[in-house]
Amino acid sequence: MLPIFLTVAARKLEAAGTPLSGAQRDRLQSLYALHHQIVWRVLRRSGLDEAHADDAAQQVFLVAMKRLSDLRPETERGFLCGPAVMVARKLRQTRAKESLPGVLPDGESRDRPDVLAEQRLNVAILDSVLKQLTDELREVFVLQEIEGLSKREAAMALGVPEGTVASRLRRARESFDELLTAATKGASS
Amino acid sequence: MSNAPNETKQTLLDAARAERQSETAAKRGLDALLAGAVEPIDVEGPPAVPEKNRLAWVLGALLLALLAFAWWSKLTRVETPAPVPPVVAPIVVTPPPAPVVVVELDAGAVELDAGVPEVDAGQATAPAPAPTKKPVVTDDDALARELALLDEARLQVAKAPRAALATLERHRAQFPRGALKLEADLLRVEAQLNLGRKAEASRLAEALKKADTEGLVHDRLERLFEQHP
Repeated sequence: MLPIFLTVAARKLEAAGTPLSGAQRDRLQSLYALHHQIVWRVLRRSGLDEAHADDAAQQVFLVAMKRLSDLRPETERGFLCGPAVMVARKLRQTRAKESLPGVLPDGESRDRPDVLAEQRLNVAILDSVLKQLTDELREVFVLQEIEGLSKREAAMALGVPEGTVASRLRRARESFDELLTAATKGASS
Repeated sequence: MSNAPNETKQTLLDAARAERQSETAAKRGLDALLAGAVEPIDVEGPPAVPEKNRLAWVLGALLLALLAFAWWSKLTRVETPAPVPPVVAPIVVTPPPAPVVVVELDAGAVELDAGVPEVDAGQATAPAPAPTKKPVVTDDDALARELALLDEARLQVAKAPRAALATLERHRAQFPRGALKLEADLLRVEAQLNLGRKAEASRLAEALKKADTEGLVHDRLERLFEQHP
């Protein structure tokens, strides 16, 4: 781990637009390969369509680039989900959400169109239920219930104590189940 | 309580977990990042050190600072010498001689017995923490010393009446209002008679008779004068 003054200096250089070194490029590529899907999905579940989620994911890794020097492997996932949640909030505030359907995944669309259609339908149903939750409950539900982050990682991403995460998750599960039950009954009647 | 169909819920969650960003979009995003072509928006990431760990670091640093300060204070503290207890010279009190006094009266010997008073000796060692007790002169103590003097005078009165008178003077000086003053005056009368100072002895005897309203010394004085016609 770098001393604090070197860490601060590295941040300043990175923030000033200094080109990444070879090691930094490798580190960023590794980070991206490992975590870009979860970041993208968190953005999607936060209410962004696929195109906006693509753009937002770039913002998330841009934040990570500035903090490469003090990112540790065991906290990478929790760290990246933090700016993902914040970017989603910011984009929801500043852009009108587009209701256009997302772009289908390239490799899968050719092979199993029926499965993907069903998957798209299920994701749409899920998003419609998540949309009815408050931001606080939806964020913790997505991070822990869907993406499987630990309580500690979720607390780090959301910037709240672990106890708060636990209580929010309990309320989120209750609310989600009630909303899903109501949606299922409405669809069957 | 929840009654949502678990199967439906699980299907929806699995669908969400299976969703993938397209490879094309993902590669395009990474290329843009590496090329520095992404225009940043104002978003900061969470602290790299979790809040809980950061609090532990801060508390640890404060504890270390406190310990360092305590250590520094201990090093720089000026030691003030402890107050030295005053040196107390040992006080030795000699117990009086045997307190048995035999006073000869006209009817025979009357034995006066007095207990030997206990006198506290001062602490002999200097740094004793307890305060040194001063010898307290009690009534019993004074009576014992009076008896000692009169016993000495009685032993002298027959063979050394001058010495007896000197002893009686010491008694008068030390115990002008002693409890045994009457007995001392009787011995003085006897000593004076033994020295042949009859007139002087008679004046003292008359004074004693006047003062002795209860008639305690009358018989004894008369017998003394009879022995020295």
